[in-house]
Amino acid sequence: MKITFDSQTLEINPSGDNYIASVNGKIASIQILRADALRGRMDLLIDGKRVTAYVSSDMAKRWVTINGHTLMLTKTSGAKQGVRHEHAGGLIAPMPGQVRGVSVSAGDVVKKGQTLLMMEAMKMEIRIQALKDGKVKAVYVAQGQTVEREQILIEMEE
Amino acid sequence: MFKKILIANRGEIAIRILRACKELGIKTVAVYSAADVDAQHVQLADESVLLGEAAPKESYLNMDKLIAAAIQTQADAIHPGYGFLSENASFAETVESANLTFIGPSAHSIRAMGDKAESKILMKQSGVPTIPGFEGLESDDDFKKAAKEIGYPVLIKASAGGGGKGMRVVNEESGLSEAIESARHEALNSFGDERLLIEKYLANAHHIEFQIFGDQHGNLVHLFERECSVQRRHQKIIEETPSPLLTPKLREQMGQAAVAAAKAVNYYNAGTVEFIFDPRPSTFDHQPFYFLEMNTRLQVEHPITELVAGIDLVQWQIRIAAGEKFPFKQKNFHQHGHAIECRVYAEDPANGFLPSTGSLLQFSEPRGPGIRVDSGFSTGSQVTHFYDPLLAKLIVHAENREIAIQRMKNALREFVVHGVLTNIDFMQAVLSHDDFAKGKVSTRWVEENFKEWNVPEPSVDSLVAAALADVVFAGSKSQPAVSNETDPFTPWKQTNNFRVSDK
Amino acid sequence: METLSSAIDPQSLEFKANADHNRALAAELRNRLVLVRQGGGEKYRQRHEEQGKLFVRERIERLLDPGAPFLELSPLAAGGMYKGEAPSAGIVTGIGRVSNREVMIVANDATVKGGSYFSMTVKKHLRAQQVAEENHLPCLYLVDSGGAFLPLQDEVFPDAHHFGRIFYNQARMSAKRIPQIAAVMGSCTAGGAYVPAMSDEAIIVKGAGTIFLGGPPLVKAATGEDVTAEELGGADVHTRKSGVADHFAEDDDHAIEILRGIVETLQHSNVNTFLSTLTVAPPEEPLYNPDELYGVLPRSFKESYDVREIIARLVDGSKFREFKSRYGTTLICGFARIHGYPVGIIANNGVLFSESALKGAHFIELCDQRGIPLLFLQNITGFMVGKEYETGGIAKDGAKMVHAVATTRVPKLTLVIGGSFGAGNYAMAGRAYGSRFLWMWPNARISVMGGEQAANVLLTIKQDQLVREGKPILSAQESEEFKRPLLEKYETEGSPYHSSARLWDDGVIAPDETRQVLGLALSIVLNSPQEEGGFGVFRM
Repeated sequence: MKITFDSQTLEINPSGDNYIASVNGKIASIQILRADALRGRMDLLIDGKRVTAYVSSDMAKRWVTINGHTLMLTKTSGAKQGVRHEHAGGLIAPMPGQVRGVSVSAGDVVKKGQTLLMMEAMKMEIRIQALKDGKVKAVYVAQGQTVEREQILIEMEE
Repeated sequence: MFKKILIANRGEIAIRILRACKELGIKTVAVYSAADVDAQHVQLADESVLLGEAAPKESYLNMDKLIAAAIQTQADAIHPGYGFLSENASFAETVESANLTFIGPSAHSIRAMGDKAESKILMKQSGVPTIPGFEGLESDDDFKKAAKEIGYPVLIKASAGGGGKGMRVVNEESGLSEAIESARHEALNSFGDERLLIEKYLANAHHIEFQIFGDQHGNLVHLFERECSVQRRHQKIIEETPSPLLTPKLREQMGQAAVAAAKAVNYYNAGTVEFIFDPRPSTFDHQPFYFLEMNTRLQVEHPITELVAGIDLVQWQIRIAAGEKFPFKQKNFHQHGHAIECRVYAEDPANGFLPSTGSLLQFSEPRGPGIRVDSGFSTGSQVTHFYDPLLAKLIVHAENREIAIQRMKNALREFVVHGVLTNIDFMQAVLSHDDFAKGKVSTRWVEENFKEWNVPEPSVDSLVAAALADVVFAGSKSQPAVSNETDPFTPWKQTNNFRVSDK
Repeated sequence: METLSSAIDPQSLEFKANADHNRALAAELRNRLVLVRQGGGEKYRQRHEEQGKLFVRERIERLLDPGAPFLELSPLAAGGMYKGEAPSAGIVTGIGRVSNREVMIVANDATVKGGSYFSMTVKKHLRAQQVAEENHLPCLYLVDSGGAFLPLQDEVFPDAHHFGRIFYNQARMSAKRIPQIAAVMGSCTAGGAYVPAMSDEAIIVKGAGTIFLGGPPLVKAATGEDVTAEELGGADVHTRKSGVADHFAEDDDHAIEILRGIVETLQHSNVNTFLSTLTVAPPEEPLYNPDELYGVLPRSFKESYDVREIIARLVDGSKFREFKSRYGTTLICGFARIHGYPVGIIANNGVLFSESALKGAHFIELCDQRGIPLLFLQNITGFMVGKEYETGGIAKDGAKMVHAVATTRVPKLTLVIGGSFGAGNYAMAGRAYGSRFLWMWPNARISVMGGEQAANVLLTIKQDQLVREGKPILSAQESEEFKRPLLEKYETEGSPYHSSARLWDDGVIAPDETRQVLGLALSIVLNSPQEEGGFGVFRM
């Protein structure tokens, strides 16, 4: 099972009665000595070393206290963004319509989720957003232009 | 003695006060806001009255509602705690005029110390050292003359001001004119009043305060100092007593000054005289301490004084308010050992100490010899944005400073709070710093040394623990883990009284 | 199962502006509910309580198991109708847990015009019975009603879905082994007398409860006989002499105690339910806080957003196995769990194209085959229009999806999270398509098309007509004048409260409580017996 907390991905799998975990190429074997669900307390043997941890969960957040120090971790999906208006590295028009505005040009560095282009179709404003951090390779359309469905609007550098 | 006391406060201080009441055989009335329906102080009191909405002005700051609650429950006195209405002279008057007793100083004392400029003049007249400075100066030349007299560095600030607006530190004469001009400009923009004052700037200032205590029969003593220099955003986070900086001679001088300050306003009940302390007085009059202000109430950090001076301040506040005589003289008091208090806040030290709110998923306080925790929270409590994010005061007492620091570090490590971010790790770092061990901590020290402080990257152990918890504890919170029923988890078994949009 | 990831930044200004806007809408919902929960008002409540009777909502509270949820249906029925004199249409209906058993409660509010039936009261009563019948929920009637509201008798008495249908339903449900229990806690006159009479078991409260076909005034007029209500049809008469009621209760509380006792004896049949062929998992909170839904929803329908952001905040662990994610991308289909129950989700993510509709139909077939209930998240402006799409046969592809929606045997739940316009409403299991439950969010809008589009269509027709008649066409300003009343009409009638008042839905619910409502509803539908079914002819 793979779990990602913030930017760290960890793979943890049962192995007999114990567990094997790997993070950043490091491998650890873990034995659960005791687990108290009520207090969120676990006594673990990690590579032979005794570790007492208190863990609480609230949705994606995990609070972990080990050795008097508390960390808040956020469980993230670690999954790649779904296929959204994406086509071979380019951003495509989801439906026929008119380009209302283009807010980037070739060479711009953009952030994931940033709106790159706005189009209007069937009375809807559709925002074309960056799927990940990156650089704009080319913009193929201009404001006012009518575009067909699945026409490539913007291409991102790989 | 009183029969019933209404406690006009919430959280840990309300609980502290109601415990003192119980020990004295006095009944207690808790008041609370809509946000505090399940709060501990409400559960522990003999009676409770809902004041109103969560916003303080609808509840804990609403005088009319508080007085009405006291009359309705037939209480005969009101303890204001700290914060909220504790230093509000008209509240003290309103309480008295409703034929109730205000547990605290007279409205006159509160008012006299409440006006910072007036109190400074009063202190000067009573021979209490105040920060050298001048007001009402006009020309650059006047400022130059004044600065020379005070000695550089000096601080120029807006007479009308506060919050650091229009404040300039000037190290030598060549920078004076420019500082005056820009400070004036800023003062005018911020307060619509361009008047400035000039005073001595203490680069290395410590905050040392003296607890004073008196009755209504003219007895007044001090109960030694508290060193409160570890501050963030101008708020204390760690306090200790005795101060590692004071000599017995200085302690005596400052104690006397504190008593003089209190006498000047005919003070009775508990109060605190705050001083700015300069450990290396070099210029002007070689005066190492100056009167800053007087807090006419019980302080947050009173427990360390209680432990070291050996007296229950809250019990005595009540007894004195009831007219009893304070039977002790100055010579009866000695400092025993060393005490430290850490204020555990729900806040994010890595992000400007912004308050953190949420539901406490775990709240497990440390225990052991010499450890005292004053708190008003437990697992499941809500930390809201309506009130101060103080979760608990962790206080330790030990035979000397070294052991006390060690005890505090261990206690912090045993303090587990989940659900909100806290400053527990941050305070461990502060206590482990060399400067702290040496007692070399000025009020700007945290700002200068911990700007870059951040939580460490998650260790493999913590990632493993977090991941395993999902596996090990899965489903254990929503009770029936395994069952042969076809519908073991049906939400219809909930007992949350769910009704559509009924909140 | 894959976990959805969110691209939303809860710190952004956009998010905060959205959250403010949508929270204000939720606050309006709460305010409206607070008002209707007062019933007919202070004066009538006082009079009611002076008669020793409990207020209708208090009766329900005492009837329910302590702390148990109550899923009220259409509390805002009749809002703004009948001069605002019938809050909740004078009847409280909903599903609650009584003696560890989910039941349908139908309770008259005598503080609203004596509990008499307006057309919406009848509609709400019938809807509750329909929900009970579809989900095999025992019906508990807390009767306190003067019968039909006489001034509006033609709207409540004669038609197929009018007053008489109540008793027809009672008989049919009883025949299907769905228990019908009545507690007579007030008057029960004329037609109303049949509610206890048609029940399997009936309780009557001393002093307050009366059952008769004709009340004392009618008797006096007809036969000249002078008789009190108690003598004519009180608790004593009916439990000792007539046998119209079975149990004699001292007061409301006693009646509730007897009622709870009766429910305890009911047999629970859980063979061949939908759940018997499915597995439930331990419920899991979503990874993303459902509170964030307020910031995800845009402030206007014109702005598009990714509906997966909504799904991520509704489903267990934000886990969603998407089906055909690369095909017909304006309709999102996939499997998830809510409160541990499996569910197939169909959510709009733009205008419907032919492929989207085909994908939807395919996904419905999948769920049907596996016995997995469907959840429709409606936010639909309609099907794609234009020559290319009409020649491409979008009408027949749309029809396939509508056909699948209409004929699937698995239970459907519908939640309108945005716009519900045109044929999109049909394909997405609108009211006419027999969803077991249908709710709206406070931001939802519903009409045959958007107001602007409708006004433009009518304007075009008008201009064509003027041209044909050889008259000058309307100027720009005249066109605006022509359109304004239409826009206003669509604005008013598109409101979720206009819809809820007319029982076009089962209630308006707030986004942050949606998971809870869906969980309760899924439990209800999945514990109902499976039915045989099959699809008809799909036009290919």
